[in-house]
Amino acid sequence: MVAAVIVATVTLQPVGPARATYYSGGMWSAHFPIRSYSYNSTWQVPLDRALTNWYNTPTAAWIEKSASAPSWLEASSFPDTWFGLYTPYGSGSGRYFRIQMNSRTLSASSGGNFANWVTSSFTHELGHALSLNDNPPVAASASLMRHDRNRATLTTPQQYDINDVNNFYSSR
Amino acid sequence: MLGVSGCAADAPTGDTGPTGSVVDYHPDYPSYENLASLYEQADVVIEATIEPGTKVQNLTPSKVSESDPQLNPNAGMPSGQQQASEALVVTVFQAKANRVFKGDVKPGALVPVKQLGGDYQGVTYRETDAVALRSGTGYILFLALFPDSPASLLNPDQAQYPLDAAGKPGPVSAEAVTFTVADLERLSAGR
Repeated sequence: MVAAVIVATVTLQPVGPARATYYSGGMWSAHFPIRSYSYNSTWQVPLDRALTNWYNTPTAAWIEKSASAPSWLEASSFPDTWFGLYTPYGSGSGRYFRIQMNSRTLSASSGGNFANWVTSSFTHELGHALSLNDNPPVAASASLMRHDRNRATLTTPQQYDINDVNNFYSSR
Repeated sequence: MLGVSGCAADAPTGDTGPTGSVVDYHPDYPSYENLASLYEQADVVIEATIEPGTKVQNLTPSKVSESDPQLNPNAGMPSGQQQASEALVVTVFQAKANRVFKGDVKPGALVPVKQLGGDYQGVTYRETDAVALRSGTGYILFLALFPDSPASLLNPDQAQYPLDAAGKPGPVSAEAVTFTVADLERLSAGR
């Protein structure tokens, strides 16, 4: 009787970015604080989920709320067409940011998926803080950073985004 | 990047940073699959020429219902916990409508159109990767209207198409959709 043992060697190929799609306005480290915020539960729950979404990735991303953090979030109704807006200040290890969420466009566009749209948009803006650029050259379903993603369903960082964060911060 | 020198300026109240610095805005916009979706979403679609002169001003949050929990993130919150938002800096252009494909605009009318960014008190505000409208240039514009603010492009990449010498619309970015004026005429006619 011949016992045949077949050893299959499987090489797992990570899904990597076709090219680096980094943003120069990101934070020095993937672990940084954001000023504690307090909105009604329609906003607070999906906003908090964005912080959790990044924390749950296999990356160094860890965004903690802190009353004294220089970076901050604002949510208001702006008469403009954007969903979210990231503004960096300072540089290097002194970098901080403001994220603005536009309740007008999110409310008007989200149909019955308001919470997911808020989470998708805030997780996307935090992606900029993690040095990710807009519209990487992959399918819309493969990156949180694409403007043409489905905001009702794509609310978490995708493997492409995770690889980019790991690649960017691995040398820090 | 959009960085526009204004010839008049109101007083922005936002965090302007130190004098001489540059502040970059990095927005997340909706994206449109094709001409039909752009046309459907726009309140106004016009062929227009950008008039000389711009104005730099604040873009402040709108007043919204105190009870709508989506539109007003502070709705239901104790007054002591309500969080305010700072203004942004925008540049307002005057677009003279030469031809109207959609919307309540008369040919010859001036339509104020804003874009994020502008120079104020030694600080340059820029919208990353956006292309500023150019004075004297003809465009096809896809605009959103607001009761309390100048119109906005639906997004910076897909809602402005400069016209060439033959009147043919061209792209300002790789995300632009391809169309002809005849395509717009068909949509305008409901065909």
